[in-house]
Parts: sequence; structure tokens; C-alpha cells
Amino acid sequence: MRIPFDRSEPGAWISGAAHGAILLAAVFGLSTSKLPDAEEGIPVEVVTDNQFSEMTKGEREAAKPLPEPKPRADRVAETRVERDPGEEKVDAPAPPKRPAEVKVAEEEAEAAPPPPPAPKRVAEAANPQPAPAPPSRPEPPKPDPKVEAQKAAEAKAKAEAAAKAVEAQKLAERQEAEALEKARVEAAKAKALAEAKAKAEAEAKARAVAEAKAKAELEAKLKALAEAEAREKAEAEAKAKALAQAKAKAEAEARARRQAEAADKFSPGDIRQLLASKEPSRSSGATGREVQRTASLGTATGSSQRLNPSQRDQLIGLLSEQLHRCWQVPVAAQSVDKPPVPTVRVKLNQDGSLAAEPVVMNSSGDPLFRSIADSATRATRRCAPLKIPAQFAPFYNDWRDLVVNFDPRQVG
Amino acid sequence: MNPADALPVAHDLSLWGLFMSASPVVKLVMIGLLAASVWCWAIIIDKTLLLRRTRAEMDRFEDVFWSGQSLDELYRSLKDKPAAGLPAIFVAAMREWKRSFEGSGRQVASLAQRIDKVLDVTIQREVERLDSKLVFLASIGSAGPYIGLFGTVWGIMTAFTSIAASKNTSLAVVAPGIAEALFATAIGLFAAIPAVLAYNKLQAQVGKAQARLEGFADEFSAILSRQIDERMALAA
Repeated sequence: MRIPFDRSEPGAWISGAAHGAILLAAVFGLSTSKLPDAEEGIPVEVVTDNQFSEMTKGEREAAKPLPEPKPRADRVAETRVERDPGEEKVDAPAPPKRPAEVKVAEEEAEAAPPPPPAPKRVAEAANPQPAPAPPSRPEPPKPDPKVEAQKAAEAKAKAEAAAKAVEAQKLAERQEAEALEKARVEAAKAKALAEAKAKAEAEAKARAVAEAKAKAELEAKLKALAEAEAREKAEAEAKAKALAQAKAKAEAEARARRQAEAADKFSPGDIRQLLASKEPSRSSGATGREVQRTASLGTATGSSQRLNPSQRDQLIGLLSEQLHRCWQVPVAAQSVDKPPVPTVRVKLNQDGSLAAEPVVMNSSGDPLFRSIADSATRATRRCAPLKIPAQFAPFYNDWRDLVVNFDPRQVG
Repeated sequence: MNPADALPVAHDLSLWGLFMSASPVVKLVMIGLLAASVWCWAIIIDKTLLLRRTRAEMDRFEDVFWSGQSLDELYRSLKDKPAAGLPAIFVAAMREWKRSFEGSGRQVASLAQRIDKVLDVTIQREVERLDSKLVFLASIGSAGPYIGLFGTVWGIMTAFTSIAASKNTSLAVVAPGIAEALFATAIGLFAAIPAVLAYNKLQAQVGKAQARLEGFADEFSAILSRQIDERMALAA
């Protein structure tokens, strides 16, 4: 169909041309730039403060949840230790220990080790043959660390040996006397029987003479033996003394050498102590009571249980009662009409021990406040670990941060 | 997975891109609305020109008519031309007048009534000529936004189904479909707003022209009835 152009009605043509022009302009002129590439949306979870503090959710990649969730801690939290008045503010670090062998010079002489019991061998060699009256064998000097003691022992041994020798001599004399007596008795006997038995008398006499002779011989032998023994003893003593001296000298040399060695030796314990005496280096990261590199692997619920109000009151009552029992109210505060009431913040671990030092939250211009507050924090420290009844143990988040009022009037 | 890969449709927000990525129903709506817009503007232009021409003709005719020129001369000069507006009314009335007096019998008894009728009919015809096609403007003005809205709703439905299919709700996936759909409403408004404005304006002009025609017809009718009465008095 062809629409004829009518001069009186050119509307269709004009309108069509105008629309076509506008469309062309729109398509080619107003084409917008391409949209940027679509990006993946980031899911965001909104967590309230309370949920955050109760959150025990661990790592998503955990293989299985732990029964007792623990927050992640990169380093041990710094705890400020507040001592009772009169104590040192900081523990002085122990100096590195001296090895046991290294002694100061004065002690050296006293610490000489005992000489080995060498004289024993000598003494044993001294009395090889058994004697009828066994002479006292010289006792081996006892192992005594002191040279003096050794000397005393030696002197004692000497005295003993001398006494023994005297005894042996006495014995020999007594035997001699006995023998003489016997001979005299024999002689009297023989004289009495002389008439009866001339022959027998001669024989007896001969026997008595022989006996006396033997007796004399024995005596002489004993005497010689005692003498030899005494000489032997003196010799051994001298020898032992020389030996002990040589030994002490060798010992001293060895000690000096060991000391020199110990000075050069690496000792890990000393180094650890040396490092511990320095200020620990600081690092960023989460802090906790103990270092836990991996956050605990989450629990099934993800958030901990909460106490209901009556349980909460019960627990707070129990804990504040324990704390008040430990509290020794300053005497000055007991007599005051309206004593200041410090508020102490107590952070607890799951076992009831203190997670951080107790902190006094409020302040007061009252001159008594300071002493009452100090006594309150001391009481808190003294009470730790607080006894948490087992039924409250799962609600750790409810009682891990307590604020306790220490009112002297409640304790009285 | 990058959602841009899931939807291979180019997110071309140019007009052509929006049109080409729309569903067939929405395309049909868009094409229809665009055609309506073209037609509306054609009507607007034609009617504006027609009304301007009619007004000029009326002015010129009234100048001639009130210039004291003989009505018979005027009638002779106009009766053979295709007439519109005031001349058409004048010619129709004059023709009825001539017929009444040139016939064998003089039928002047109800001549004034007949002339009135003829004038009324002629006015109606003229007004209808001026008024024609303005209804289309009114229809587009009122229905255009609805048609565009239909295309938008349809387009959003299809956009949501495709979003559900892509399993991704990021704005980059949702936005192009909605933009396509809204484009239909935009075209609807683009067609409807000029149509409404032009309809009101043209309707007012047509009303004015009609009042002028009726005024002229009444005056001419009065002149003719005076003439009739004079002639009847002469005849008696």
C-alpha cells in the first residue's frame, strides 16, 4: 500500500521521519557503555556483641568439634602481678647456677678427697704368719674426706698398735711367769718324788728344763715379732702419708683442669635462665591464658549455654560468699559508719582460678578506700581458685567476668 | 562460576540491545507502541495544520462576507469550489435559499426552518471533519501506559524465570531483564504523553472552531430570515 503524499496532510510522513531520526540517534548516539563484569556477592552475617562474647564457634575446616571449646590465643596474656604490701614488686631473676665442681679457692683445701685405703695392703703384708697370741692388725684408715681425720685415724691406729704391742709383751711375760711357776712346782714335785723315782725325777727335770727352754724361746720370738710389727707400722704410716700427699696434689690438678673445661662448656639451662631474666619480647595477636595456635575446632551448638536469672543469682551469691569469707576487712573500716565499697572485677578461668589480676573498678576520695580496695583484691587472690559448683560449669561465659562489691558492712 | 558466563545474553543497555534481548511478546508491544507513537504524531501534525488552515479560511471569509459584497455574487464565486468551514455553511444555506425561490412554486412558508436544518447539518459535518482521528489520540493517551505496563510485567516475569534458572540473584543478573522490561513502559509513556497533551489542545481548538461556525450560522440564519420576511411582505 502506498500512502500518497498529501500537502494538506503531511503528518504521517513527518512523524515517521522524525521517529526514525530519533531512533537512529538513540541507537547510535545514546548507547551506554558496557556494564562491569558481575562480581560474586559477599555474604555478611551480623553478629551482636553478646553473641560475639558467647561465640565458641571454631574453624570451619575442623574435623570434629571439641568437647571444651577454647578461643584462639597467639600468646600468653600479660598478667600484672600485684603483691601484698611489703613484698618485692618484681621477682629478681635467679642468676645462672655455678656447676657443682667449680668451687672457690678457700674451699679447695678442705674439699680434698680422702686418700684411698692403701695402708690396708701394707698392713696385710705386715702380718702374714699367724701368731699364737694374734697381734692386732693395724686397722685400715677409714675413708675420711678430711686430711685431719685421716691423720687422727692414723694416730689412733698407731696408738692402738702400740697398745697391742704392750699387751703382747705382757702376755709374753705372763706366760713366762707361768712357765717359771710351773717349773717351780714341777721342781718341788720332783724333789718330793726324788726318793721314789730317781729316774722319773731326772726325766721330769729334763722335761721341765726343755719346757722352760721352749717357753723362753717363744717369748723371745714374740718379742721380736712385736718389734718388727712396730717398725712395719711406722714404715707403712710414712708411706701412706707420702701417698696421700701425692694423691691430693693430683686431685687439685684435675680439679683445675675440669674447672677450665666447665667455663667453656655450653649449658642450655644457664642460657634459658639468662633469657628469662630479660623482659619478654612483645608480639601482636590474640592473647590468652595459654598459647593455642589453632582455635578450638568448634562445638555442635556454636554458642554456649546461658544461665537463667535464678541460677545466676544463686551462682553470684555463692561466689560472693566465698570471696567475702576470704576477706579480712581492715580494722579501720569496721568501725566506720559508712565505709567506701570497692567494686572489684574478677576474671575467672573455667577451673575457677583467676584469669587476670582483679581490678578495682571504682574510686573514691575516702582515705579508707585505698586500704579497703587493696584488701579486697588481696582477698580475691587469696580465694582463688573459687569453687564453682559442677552444675554451673557449662555456663562459663556467664561467670567468667564477675563484678563483686566488697561491702565491709556485709562481712561484719 | 562467573554469572556472566551463565547468561550469554549480552548486557547491552543500548536501545537496540534492550529491544533485541526482549521476549517476543514484549517486542510486539514495543513495536505496536512505536507505531502508535508515529501515528499519533502524524495526527497531531495533520490536525494542527488543518485547524490553522481552517482558522485562516474563516478569517478570510468573514472579511469578504462583511465587506458588503452581494451574497449572490459571493455564492456564485464559491458554489463550484469544494468548500470547507464557513464557506461550506454559506454555500449550503444559499443553495437551499436559491432552490426555494427558483422553483416553480414559492415555498417560503418554512424556508427559515429548512435553512436552520441545513446549517445544523453542515456544521455537524464540518466539526466531524475537524474532530476526526482525535479519538485515536485520546485512546493512545489513556491506554498507552497500560500497554507499556503489560510489556513490562511480561518482561519481568520472563526475567525472573531466567534468574531462577541461573540460580544467581546478584544485581548484574537481575538488572538487565528488568531494564528490558521497563523499556516497554518507557515507550508507552513516550507515545502517550504527547498524545494526551495534543488531544487536549486540539480538542480545545476544535471546540473554538465549532463555536465560531455556530455563531456565523446563527448570524447568517438571522440575515436570511430577515430577507425572507422582507420578500413575503413585498409579495403580500
